[in-house]
Amino acid sequence: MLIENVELFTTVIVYGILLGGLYSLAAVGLTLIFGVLRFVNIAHGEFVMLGMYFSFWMLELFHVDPLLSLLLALPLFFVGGCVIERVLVKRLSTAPSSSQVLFTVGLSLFLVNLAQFVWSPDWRSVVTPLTSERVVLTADLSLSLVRVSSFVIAMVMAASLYLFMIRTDTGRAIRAVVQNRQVASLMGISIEKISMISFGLGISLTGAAGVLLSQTFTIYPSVGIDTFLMKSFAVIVLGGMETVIGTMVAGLVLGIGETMGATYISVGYSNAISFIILVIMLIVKPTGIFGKTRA
Amino acid sequence: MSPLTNRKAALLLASSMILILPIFSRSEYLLHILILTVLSATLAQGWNLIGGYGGQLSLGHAAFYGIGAYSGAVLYGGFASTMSIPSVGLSPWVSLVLSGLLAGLAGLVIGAICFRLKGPYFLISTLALAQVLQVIFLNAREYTNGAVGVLMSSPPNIIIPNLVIIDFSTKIPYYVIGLIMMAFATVIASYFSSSRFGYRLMASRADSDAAEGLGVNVFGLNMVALFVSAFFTGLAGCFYLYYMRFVDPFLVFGIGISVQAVVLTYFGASGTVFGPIVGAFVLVPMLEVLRLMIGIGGPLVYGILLVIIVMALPGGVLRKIKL
Repeated sequence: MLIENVELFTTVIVYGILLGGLYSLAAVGLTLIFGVLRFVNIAHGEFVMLGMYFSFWMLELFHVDPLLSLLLALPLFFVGGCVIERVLVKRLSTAPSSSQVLFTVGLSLFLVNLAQFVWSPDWRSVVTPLTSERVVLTADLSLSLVRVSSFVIAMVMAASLYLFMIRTDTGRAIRAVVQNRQVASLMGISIEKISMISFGLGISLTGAAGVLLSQTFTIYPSVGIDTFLMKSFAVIVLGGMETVIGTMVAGLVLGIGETMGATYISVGYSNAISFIILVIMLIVKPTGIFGKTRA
Repeated sequence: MSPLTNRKAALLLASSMILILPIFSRSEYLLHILILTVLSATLAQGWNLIGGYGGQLSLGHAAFYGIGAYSGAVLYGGFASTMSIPSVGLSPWVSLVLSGLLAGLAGLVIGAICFRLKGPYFLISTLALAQVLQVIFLNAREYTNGAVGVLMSSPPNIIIPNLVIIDFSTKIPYYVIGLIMMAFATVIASYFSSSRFGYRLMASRADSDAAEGLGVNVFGLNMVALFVSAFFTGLAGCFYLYYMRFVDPFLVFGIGISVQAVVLTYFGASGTVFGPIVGAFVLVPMLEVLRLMIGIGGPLVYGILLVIIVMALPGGVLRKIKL
């Protein structure tokens, strides 16, 4: 049978959950941007990549630990996101959706190749004194400290986002715009302002996810488009594209799916799992496992 | 059919004559750039058939390009070194055409999956399927040689005594074949722009529900258009392999190929007969010069260009100048 080795199976599931938490965080910004702006951001992965490089260079140049970089990345990427929204994205708000998509494709290419030009295509990794530390749970199961801490931070950030969306006026306004733009606008919500904040917040969370991911993934210029774009799309399509909770659960599903694929099928093909989940979901139920059918 | 005005006919004649001239050139480098240009023009024209006329924004045309290239390798089999991957051993000419047809068939499979989806979802699913193929071609080492790639030897020269000598160690035959491919794709594009089939396809692009209501089989039309589109893309991929004599999954299945097809077409004007050709003839040499002068590769410029086109030049240059 498939599950001959129970310890291995447990490890695979636990690692899948730890990985999935990071995938969720990487994807939640995409959900936010898509929900509010109805804007498919192909350059999403590049903001993960920028977050990873931010973490790498902060450590390399200023000896700043990734956990501190995370706190710096949040406001920095927020402002960057707001500026991109104001200067570029806003002008396309009435353009046909093909122009919007092509714009983000151009942005993605530009960022990947700029990174390649400025930072060279070399593979880099973030190594701190904590990288090799392990958390021993039982005699058979010990986990990488970095993975556990990243997961916990990702969950705390997701929970904060959830509370922000539920409790604050801005959060409620964002959800109102996601549900129905016209009505939200009639209720006195400034769509312009909410679009900017959502884009900024989305980019900020994505950059933060990049900082966390830099501790477990190799950093190179096209890492965003090669892996995180499709993983994030798989997660948001699986999660129904609208809610924070849907996205989080879908991230965990993908994480577990990938680690199981890598263990029981082949490491090489495990990269294709997110693509295959994505395509199957798009065909079978494009509104996601938790999604409602949109009118 | 829009009547061919004298002005257009004169332009067409003049440009075809200019295109034939380089055959007499002694500059290998000039020919190399021109070969890359006509190759890219074929790729872009292929994309234009479904992306421009059909309005289906595919970001997965690298799939057909890659399938064309690898089919060309396996069907012909003239590898440069001993490789343990299987080969059929057909003539490179037959392999070229068959590669296009195989890519077309792949188009039918991908179309059957992706045409159920609309707008951004179609785009994401095509991108995802091209990436799946890249992963498969990287991992199926027994059949593709994996990440190492495939290295080919030069195709055999064709010598008919006292009549023709086609010497594949020079660049001229490649240029001529490339020109023929480009012209063939353009003839098909002009058929798309002025036939019942094309009008129906463009109607389904404008409003697929309304077209469906008027009795147009939108799915069927898109499938036919994608088959033809993938055929030319596969042809271009196979031609690329025979000319460059090397491919690996990153080169031919990478998103760069898909994006190039889109950018060239949009720069010229998407959904027009000469848009992709203009795009290729302006951008490909320009990028080559930029690469030589400041060492910045094509993709960076393609990215900036795409942003500029979308922001400042919606519709492409051809629609701005209005011939």
